[in-house]
This record gives sequence, C-alpha cells and structure tokens, in this order.
Amino acid sequence: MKGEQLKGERGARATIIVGLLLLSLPLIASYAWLLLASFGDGHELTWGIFPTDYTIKHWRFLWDPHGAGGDLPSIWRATGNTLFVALSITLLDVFIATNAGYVFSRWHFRGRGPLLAFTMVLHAFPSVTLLVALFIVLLHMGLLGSLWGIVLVKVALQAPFSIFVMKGFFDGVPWESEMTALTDGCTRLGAYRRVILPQILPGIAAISIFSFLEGWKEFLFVFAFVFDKDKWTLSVYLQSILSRGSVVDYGIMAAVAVFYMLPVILFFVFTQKYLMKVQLGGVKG
Amino acid sequence: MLRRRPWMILLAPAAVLILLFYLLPAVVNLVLAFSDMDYTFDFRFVGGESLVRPLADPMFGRVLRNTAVYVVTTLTLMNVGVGVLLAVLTTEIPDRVGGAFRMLWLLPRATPSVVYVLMWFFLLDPTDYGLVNKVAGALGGENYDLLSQRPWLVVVLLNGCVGASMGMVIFTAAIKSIPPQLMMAARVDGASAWQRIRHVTLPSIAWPIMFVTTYQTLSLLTSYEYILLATDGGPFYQTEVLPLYIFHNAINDFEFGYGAALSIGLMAIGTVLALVYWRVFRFGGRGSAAQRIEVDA
Amino acid sequence: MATIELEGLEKRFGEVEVLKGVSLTVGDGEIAALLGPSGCGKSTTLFILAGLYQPSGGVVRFDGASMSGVHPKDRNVGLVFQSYALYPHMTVRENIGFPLLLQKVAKAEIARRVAEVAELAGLSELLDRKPSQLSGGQQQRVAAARAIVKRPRLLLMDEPLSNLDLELRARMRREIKRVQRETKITTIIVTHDQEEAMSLADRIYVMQGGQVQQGGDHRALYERPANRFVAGFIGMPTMNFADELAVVDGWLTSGGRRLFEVAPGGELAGRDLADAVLGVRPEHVAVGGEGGVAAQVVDLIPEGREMVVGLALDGGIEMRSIVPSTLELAIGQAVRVSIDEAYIHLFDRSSGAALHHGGHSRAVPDPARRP
Repeated sequence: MKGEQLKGERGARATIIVGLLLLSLPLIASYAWLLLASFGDGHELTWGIFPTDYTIKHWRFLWDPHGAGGDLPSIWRATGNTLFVALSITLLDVFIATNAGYVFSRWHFRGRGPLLAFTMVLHAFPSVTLLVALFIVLLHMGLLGSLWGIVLVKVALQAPFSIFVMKGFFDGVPWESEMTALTDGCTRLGAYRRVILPQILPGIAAISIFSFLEGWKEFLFVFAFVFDKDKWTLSVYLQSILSRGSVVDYGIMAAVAVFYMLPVILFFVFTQKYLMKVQLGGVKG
Repeated sequence: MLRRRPWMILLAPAAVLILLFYLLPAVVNLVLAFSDMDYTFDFRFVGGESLVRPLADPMFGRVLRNTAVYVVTTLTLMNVGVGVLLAVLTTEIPDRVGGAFRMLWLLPRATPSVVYVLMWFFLLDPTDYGLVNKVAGALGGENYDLLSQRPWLVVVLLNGCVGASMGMVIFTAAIKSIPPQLMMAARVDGASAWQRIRHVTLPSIAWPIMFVTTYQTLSLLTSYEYILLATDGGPFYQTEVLPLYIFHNAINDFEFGYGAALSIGLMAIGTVLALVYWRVFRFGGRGSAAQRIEVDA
Repeated sequence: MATIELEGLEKRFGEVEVLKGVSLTVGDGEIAALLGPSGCGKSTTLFILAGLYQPSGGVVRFDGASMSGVHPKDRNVGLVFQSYALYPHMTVRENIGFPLLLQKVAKAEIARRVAEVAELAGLSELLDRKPSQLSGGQQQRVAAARAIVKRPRLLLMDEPLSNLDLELRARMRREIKRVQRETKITTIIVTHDQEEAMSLADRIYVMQGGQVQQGGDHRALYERPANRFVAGFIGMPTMNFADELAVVDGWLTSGGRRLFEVAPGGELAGRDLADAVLGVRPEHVAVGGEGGVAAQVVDLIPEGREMVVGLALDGGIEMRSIVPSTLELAIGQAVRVSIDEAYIHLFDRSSGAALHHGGHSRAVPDPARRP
C-alpha cells in the first residue's frame, strides 16, 4: 500500500498527524517537564515547561545517601529492592503462565471449559478486597513485611491474565507441528519442550516485558504490607517524598521520578527494536 | 498417576499459587465479613451485621453512584473511545509515525503510578506553575484548581489516558491483521477513506471491542490506585469509589469486618457482570480448535 | 518394511462417525494409495495408523502385531503432512536429524545419516537454511527426508503433491517412486487426485463415506469398478450414466430416448432393466460413421491430443465422448453416435453395486474404422 499516495490522501494524512499531535500534546509536555524539572532551579517556567535556571542539586541522592532528605535510606537500596521484585515476578509469572497456558490450549480434560471460565471470572476479584485477607494470610505465613510475599501475591493475581495470553499464543501453533514431533519420536512433554516452546518465544517475550514493568511499578502492596523503610521499593520511596510537608519541591520529586523511570524508558527503546524485528521477520515457515 | 497425566504437573504451580494467594484470601474475606474485626484483631462473629451495614451507611449510596459514573464514563469515553480513535488514526498514517504515537501513549501505562500522578500534579498545579493555568492564562483566563473544582474530570482523564492504551494496542493488532486485499478492494470499489474505515476497519475490531469492554469494565470497577494518589476520594468523598472506600475503611479506619463485607458486595457485582458478559459475548464458544491429538503422554 | 493390516476400523468424533469399518492390507514394500473425495475419512485413517488418533473400533496391525495402545513414537512411522510441518526454529539439517536426536543416536552417526538422506533427496546444498528460506518443493523434500531418516517401517504421506505446481508435481512423482524403490519402505499415500494415486501407487483403495469402496490396481478399478461411485470417480472425463432403462423395439432406451441397438440374445436382451443404471466410458461413445443414433454436438473441450465432446443423443440424453483432436467438429453440428453393447456396464440403481462389466479397450476409437 506504500506507493499509492493519491493527492488528497497526503493532505488527509498530514491532518491526522497534526490532530494526533494536538491530542498527545499534554502527554508530551508532561514528560518533557518531568525531565526538565529534575534539573530546574526555582519555580519559574518559561513556555510552560522550561525552567529558567538549571542545577543538578536535586540529583544529590545519587551519591549522597541522605540526598533524598528526611530519614530515607539510600536510593540504591530501594532500587535493589525494586529490581528484586520485578525480576522475581517476571520469572515466576513466565514459568507459571507458559506451562498453564499450554495445558489449557492443548489438553482436553474434564472440567477444562469451566476452569477457563473460572479463570476469567477470577479477574473480577479485586485485589483491594483481598487486601485485608491477604494481610492476615501473609501474617500467618510469616511473609508479612517480606518482599517475597509481594512477589507471590502479584504473580498469583496476575496469573489469570498471563495464562490467557499464553494460551492464545499456543493456540496459534499448528497442531501438525506437535503431531510431527510425536511421530518423530517425542513424548507430548518432549514435543512441548523442543518444538512448541521455541515457536512461542515472541509470546514469552511479551509476557516477560509486561510482567517486569508491572513488577517495577508496584505500589499498593508494598505500601500496605512493607513497613521497613529499608525494604521499600522506589514507588513507596517516591510517594513518601510526595506526601512530605506542605512545601512542594518539584525538583527533588522530579529527579527521583526520572531516576525511577529510567528502566522503563530503556525498555521502551529496546523493545521498539525487537517489535520492529518481529514485524519485518515475517511469520513464514 | 503423574506419569500418565503430565498436564497435572504443568498446571500444579499455577494452581497452588492461585489457591494460596487468591482463593484462600477470598475465603478468609468471606469469613471476615461475618465479623466486626477492627484494630484489635479480635475475631467476633456477628452474623450478618456487617453485611447489612452498607444499607444503613449514608455514604454507601453515594459511593455506588460515584463508581457507576466513573466506570461508565471512563470506559466509553477513554478506554474504548480514545482507544479506537488512536488505533484507527495511527494506522492510517505511515507506520513509523503511527508506531511512535502508539509508543507515546503506552508510556502512561508503563509509568509508575506515583510518577504519573506527579506529572498530573504539575499540569494541574493551582498556581501559575501549572501548565493548564499557563495555557488558560495565555488565553486570558484565570487560574483554575481543577483538582478541587473538577475532580471528576481529572479522575476520568487521568485513568483514561492509561486505560486507552490497552484498547489501542488490541485494536491496532486487529486492524493490522486485516488482509491488505480487503482494503484494496474497498478502494477499487470507490470507497472514500471514511467509508473504508466505517465498513472495513471498524467491523474488524468489533470483537476486540467486546473483549476490551468486558475486561476493562472489571478493571475499572476494581481500580483505585490513581484515585487514591490523586484525590484520595476527595474533595469530601466526591470521587470516592467503592474500592477506595473499602481501602479507607480497612487501612485507614481499621474496620476490617466492614471492609470485608463491602468487598463481598464489590465481588458480587463484579462476578455478576463477568458472567453476564461471558454469556452475552459467548466467550465459551470461542475456546480453541478441537483437540487433534489423542495421545496423553 | 512392514505389512500393514486394517481390520474393520471405526472412528467416531463425538456424534460423527467418520470411519465405518475400513479394512485393507498393504504388503511389505508396497505403495498403496487411499483415494477419495474430501471428508471420506482418508486422513483420519492415516492419523490412526500413525497412532495420533485412537480407533473407536477395529484393529491396526503392523506385521501381525496389534498397535492398540502403542505410542506414536514407538511405532517407527514416518509422517509427511500436506503442510510439511517443518520446525521453523530449526535448520534443515536439524529438522532432518531431529528423529535421530530423539532416539539418542550418536552425533557422528546422525551427521552421516542426515547427509545420506539429504543426498537422496537432493538437499545437500540446503542443509543450513531455515524452512522460511525454502521453496514449497524444497520444504516437501525436507519433510520427506525427515520422515525416512529414521528408516521407518511405514511411510505415510498426506496429499504429497497437491501443493505443488504441475511441473514440480511430475518431477516429485518420479522422485517419490525412485526413493521408494530404493528404500523399499512400505508407503501409504492419501490423496483426492486419481492421477496422483494411479501414477504413484501399486494398489489403490477408493474410499467414500468412511468405507473402502474398492481396492485394486488402477486397471481393475478402471475396467471393473465395483460400484457406481468408483465408476464415476475413476477416469477422466467421467463415465457416462443413463437411467430409466428399457428395451423397446430392439433398442436400449433411457427415459424413452434411444441409445443403441440391442443384440438379440445378448447381455441386455434378457435382463430386467427397471432397477439398473447404464454406464459407458467416453472412449466407447463413438462419434461419426453412419450407424447409431442421431445426436447434436453441444460442447467441445480440446485437451491437447484429444478432445472431449459433449453430446445430446436422440434429442436429450447427455453424454460425453472423447475423440482425437484432428476430428473436425463444431458446436451444433449433427452427428451419428454409436455405442457398442460390448463395452457397457450396469449398476444396481439403489445399491450402486456393479451388475455387469463390459469388455475393455483403452484405445480411443478411430471413427474411420467403424464396424
């Protein structure tokens, strides 16, 4: 469809782009401001988002363990916690969802239909309702205040969605692939491991990215269940700065925020390339 | 037994996890609802007392109304509305540009909630610092404090910008999988761009719209994180939705028993809606291809 | 190398009965074809042979041993799908070697055998490519190579030539026959294309409605079809059928119209034809000369050396004839058409079973040599 540019179309396309730009302007402006404000000195802004003076004093926390102010621990501690949570959630989620998704896609066992429906209905159970109950459950398991508790809870709550997505990917692998593997000499599990899994790597990649980002952003559970400042993740860390005092110091908040968001930005840049490759590589054969 | 049914091994981890951290708490919650446990952590069975409290609670009706307005408005305007708009518009322009816009709109979803709300605080800052006021000032208006004056507008837009991205991704995928021959045929038939969108593009996203509606209704019904961070239900409970109300009761007021009872209510509403959607859109029928291998191991 | 027997094979999917008692035997080293229209159950039979489906009834035997409950991986069967089903994430070399890898064959041995089979299939240059970089014909050869590298005792192929263009098809046909002759693996091919079946197989089993209608070599099927279905399925252009038969004034009539003269004391003279259907092959419908009945040319389809002529006999009966292209005919032309009683077939009207077979000569009759 590329070369067929009719005159009217080019005009229409330009209009659409301008329209999208206008629609997205608040978003663009906000993110731009965030970056700029982390280096901004004082409260003056020109053109709505550009500070008049610049400084790096807000970024003190990178080398000064008390740079974030108050009684907060070093930001690196919080970063380590966040990384631990995000990675653990990703690995566990991929492991669980892939295996379960395969079973739902390829095996017809009694109760499969209802189980599938049940999984979907589970999504209706809001995490907020389970907050109190989880508190009690984690308390009795000795996991309250521990980051592992957060990981297990997050994976459990995310499981229905992840399983559904992975099932979708498995559904896309032709039956013949598996049939061939069986006649070639695989057991069903062997076929799963050697033949089917390699074909859904894009699905695994998708779930991994999603899980990692979800884990990295997690706020509520840490807020509710973790009390030791040393175990805080960056989300609660930042929130405590946000809710501190009446003086609004956007500078430090923005700096910590940008620092927190760095992996997300990086992820975006890298998955862009991957996504492009998946599109161009083609799905033949 | 495990040898002959390997699928059990594969399902086990998921099953255990969901059992322990999803179902077990649900049961515990059910039990708690029949108590009036508070900060003392004393479990006192009081029958249905906590369960009927919502009916007597003057806030409850208001909270329910708020929730309904919030879900319906955000779903139709932003999650589906803007989602479809973004998907259709970004696929009509060259893919590199379209892709860039889509990446931009995915950013809110990937952005940690605290950071995202911070950005909105900047936009809405009631002094001259806020961007909204800067723009309003440039147009000759006064300073607004939207967070206090129009909290609903803020809540819907804030959540919606995040919500729209899911629909956008799903709809875009559907649009991209329309065979190009179909588009070409429409052009040859003489369809204008708008007609093409109406008769080829939109029908192709009919099912995804149904899916997104179902899924996001439930998501919105139970979401409160952004509202908590942005308005905390205020000012004066104007934006208090049910999940947030539960949170406040449980975490702030330590009314565990009442909180659990309210949760039951929320769960009931959610389950009913989920089942209704399931029936109406018949997700069951779209399971997957009939089993073509009758070997179990 | 094995003898394959199917006895009374039945298969039900829920309410639907796909196989209703299939029985056949394929000898050691033979190529057999399961021929039939789509939906007749031939692919299902294939998958049961491979062990991927369990039969609802009946037995499968390899060399006399029942295969009931035997896992596909233990049957030593090679299966080539219509879509080839190559593993997209593996190279050609890895694809072919996969069965050996699973059997835990030594690496050096795998390399040797893969090279051997690749040579046989003409793939030696392509071993390091991925399936997405191969043409259809090449993919098919890889699939076949993968199936035979483990020296299976049975090779199964599902519509092997249907995805290939004409020229490739002819070439692959020769390849398959050649490879089979060299390796002597018992082979069963499933196809809906009779040309494919006839050119590849030693024995053909025509299937329809979940049952074997007839099995035999192509000559037997062509000259002595067991029932009306086989008669109409085998042979292009298809056999002509005529209904509502009666002998009137020494002529065989169909629906009141005359077809040909009946010899007194011959096969047809003494028969009760009320429940019979007549079948006659196009090459036995002679156009030209002076005998026979009056007919009009309705249609002409040139096919290279020969030409198919659509005719309307005695004002109404539709028949097709096949004549040399050199014959000058035009649509609408009036001609004489003769059918020799010696070459006709009769089928029972309700059951379709064959009642009588005429003699046979494959040559297209030359109108200049009319009796």
